[in-house]
Amino acid sequence: MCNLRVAFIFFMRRDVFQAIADPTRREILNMLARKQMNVNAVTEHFDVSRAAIYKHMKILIECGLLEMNQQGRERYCEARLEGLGEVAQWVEQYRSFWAARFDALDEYLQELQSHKPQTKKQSNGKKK
Amino acid sequence: MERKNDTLSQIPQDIQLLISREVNAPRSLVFEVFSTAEHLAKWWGPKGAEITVKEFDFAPGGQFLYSMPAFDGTTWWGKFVYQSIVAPELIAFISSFANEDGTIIRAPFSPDFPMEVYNHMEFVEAGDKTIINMKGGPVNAAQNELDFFKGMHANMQQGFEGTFAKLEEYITGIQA
Repeated sequence: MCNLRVAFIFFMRRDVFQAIADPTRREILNMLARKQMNVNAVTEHFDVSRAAIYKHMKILIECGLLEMNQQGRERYCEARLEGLGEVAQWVEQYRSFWAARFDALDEYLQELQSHKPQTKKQSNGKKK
Repeated sequence: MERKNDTLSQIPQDIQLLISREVNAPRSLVFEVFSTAEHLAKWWGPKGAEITVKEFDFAPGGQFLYSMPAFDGTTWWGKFVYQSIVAPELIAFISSFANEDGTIIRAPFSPDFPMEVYNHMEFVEAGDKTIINMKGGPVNAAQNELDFFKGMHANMQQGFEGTFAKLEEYITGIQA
């Protein structure tokens, strides 16, 4: 999924979106959001095979959302969540696009109703 | 009570975005301002700039083609192709960026934003007010476009409240 060659050609964002589109990878990131963890501890948390979790981790690493560190004999995973800021930004932009459209709609509707009252009876003093 | 909509059911739940909004007007009026070019020209545009309507055919299969001044000084064209219309309760349409001739083009701001987004807009009466429930997602999309929407969906719908709860703090922190 997260093809490195592709990742280098296109924007990082694409891969971050791919990475978090998967619930297992979201769960891995969530586990690691506050603390780094031993690789084995992470894999044991899931019912699926260790190899399957490694595959998810590899994708997260390629997308820059996860780092592995060797500490003595143990390997630790650490989440690098900076890249998620882009996702949050997109969600925010999408939301605010529609919020702005609906604000404009509401404003326009108020204008129409103040010029030409609709069939509804006037309900004075009732504000939203 | 409502008809099953084919296009909506083709969009997987995990990439359907839902936006809900209450507006202070009766449903018939809300529907009306979506259904004529004169009304749309007055409000469906960036603040302070009216759009120019080139084509408007408010019927299933018909299209609304308009231009708007973009923040970068250029002109962007957009279009809706209406899918189903049930007055005064439903308008379903596919929105996309376009060129002047109405040919669909990629969004000027992103290589991953889906070229065609289906919007299923329901108008629900709530006393003197109207609730607009909009569901939607990419149609005819490439994998990168689907992933893009899925990632957005994860954050909008369940993300910040559910499995991603711990990340919220972090993201709020880095945006501050």
